[in-house]
Amino acid sequence: MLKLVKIICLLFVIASCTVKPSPILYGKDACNYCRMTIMDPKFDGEIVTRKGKVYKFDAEECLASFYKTHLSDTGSFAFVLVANYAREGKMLSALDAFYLNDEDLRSPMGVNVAAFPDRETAEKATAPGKGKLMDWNDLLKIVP
Amino acid sequence: MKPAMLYKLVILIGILITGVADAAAHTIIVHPSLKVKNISQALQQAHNGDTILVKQGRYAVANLGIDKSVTLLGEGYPVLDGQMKGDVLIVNVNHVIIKGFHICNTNKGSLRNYAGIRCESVKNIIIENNRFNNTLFPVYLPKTSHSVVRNNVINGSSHENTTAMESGSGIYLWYASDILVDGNSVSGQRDGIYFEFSNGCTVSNNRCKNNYRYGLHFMFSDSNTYIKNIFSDNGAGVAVMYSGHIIMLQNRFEYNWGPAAYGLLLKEINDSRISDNIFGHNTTGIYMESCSRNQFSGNNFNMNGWALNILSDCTGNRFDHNNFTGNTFDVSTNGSPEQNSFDANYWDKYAGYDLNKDGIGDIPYYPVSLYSKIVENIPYAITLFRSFVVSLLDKAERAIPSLIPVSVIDHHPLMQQYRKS
Repeated sequence: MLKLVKIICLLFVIASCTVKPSPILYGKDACNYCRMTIMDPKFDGEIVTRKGKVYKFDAEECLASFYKTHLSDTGSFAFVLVANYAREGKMLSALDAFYLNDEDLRSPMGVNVAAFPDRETAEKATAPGKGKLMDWNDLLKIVP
Repeated sequence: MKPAMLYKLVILIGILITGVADAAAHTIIVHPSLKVKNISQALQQAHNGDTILVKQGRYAVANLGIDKSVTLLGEGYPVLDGQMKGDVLIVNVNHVIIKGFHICNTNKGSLRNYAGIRCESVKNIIIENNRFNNTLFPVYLPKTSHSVVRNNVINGSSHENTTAMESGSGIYLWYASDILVDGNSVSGQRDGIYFEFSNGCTVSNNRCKNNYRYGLHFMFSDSNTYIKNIFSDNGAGVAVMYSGHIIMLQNRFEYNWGPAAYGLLLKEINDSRISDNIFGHNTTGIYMESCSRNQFSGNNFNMNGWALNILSDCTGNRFDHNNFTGNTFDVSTNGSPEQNSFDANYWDKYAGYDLNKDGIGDIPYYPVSLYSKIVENIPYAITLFRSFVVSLLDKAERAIPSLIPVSVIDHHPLMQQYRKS
């Protein structure tokens, strides 16, 4: 019996230590970088540290700017996630995603970028020759 | 010729020209029972300068392009129903007036900004006395200049199940310039009035209430003036960011409650003047981050949780002749903001004397209380608010200041509330 109790306790401890992304409450949560209220599931982002601290962002450009100002801490980030523009509600790994820079996108902070899972979907979302495709490192270069 | 005479002559010529133009212009009357049954039919017949008078009724209008410089007049608020098909009116030419319509039901899809009235890359547009209902972006002005948006009434969705995410900005300016936004009333939208990259605009006498996010929101928009607007009960108050040379006078920022709600959120706002405004009943009256060289005077901060939250990266801001009354905390900060000056404000928590009766307290006032520093670091400490321990702590700190930032100090606190004479 005592063993069972111990196991259950241990399970609780493990469960409470699991680091996982937390859902964004639209209209309630504020962006950790620009302080704006997060409103648009097409552009949001989230960073979760290995210790479980969650940073939420209203736009990929805010996430990238935050990432840039915390370059020395990036080793401690368990998740760096961006919204999949093509499919709301799904998050992508920011470092592997493709980004489209197109003024028709009107992202919340005016840089006008959105994230896509692969090159093809990103290309499909823009008029031929209009938007600029980029990867994570390119995005870091264009954000303030 | 004397300047006055020249002026009269110019007016006279102006009257003559408009008279001549009027004589040439026609009025086309639209009603289902008449020969011209709908607006697109009227537009086909119309010439530049004509007036299209639309009689009361319900008209199905979707993605109607206005390609002639006409005046569209509604009589008895005719309904222009977009039937959820896209935009309602699209203005493609200069010199268009749209007055007296009830515009409703744009498409709601989230991939495009569907508009009630879309004016792209045009100028001299007047949008006046219209009603908007259930439109995603009621008035949308990308790259438009020298135009007027006046006395419109905008109500977001009438459907109860619409969420904040499915709503757009009430009056949305994007790369626009020299626009007058006056006397409008906006509610139930994501942001009441939203400016991006728009300069030289005046926003006056508007009422933005009960919007999902911000009553007023602008980014990267310099040299705009905001006068006598009321922003109340919005989800997150008002947020203005990354702009300079802003003038905000006699506005009211009220009843914005919530963990991320601010009467006025200022981020990277420089060289601006914020005077004679009322900040009442907000969680935070003004929140300032990375703001420089702004002047705040004659404002009333009344019954806020935090009247002023000024982060330590703000420099060169001046606060004078403001009244701080009934706030839980007057000023709070996360560090020691340097080179900001507080002078000659009225603080109802000031407990000093004025023995020489010059209207100015004899000892300086430190608006940052020790307790507010503690709450800044440990939010749960708010449960001790108004406890004996806390007042003891604050008294001790006032007697021997050691932890509160000495840079936030008012050397000449007023004994009476400041009233503008």
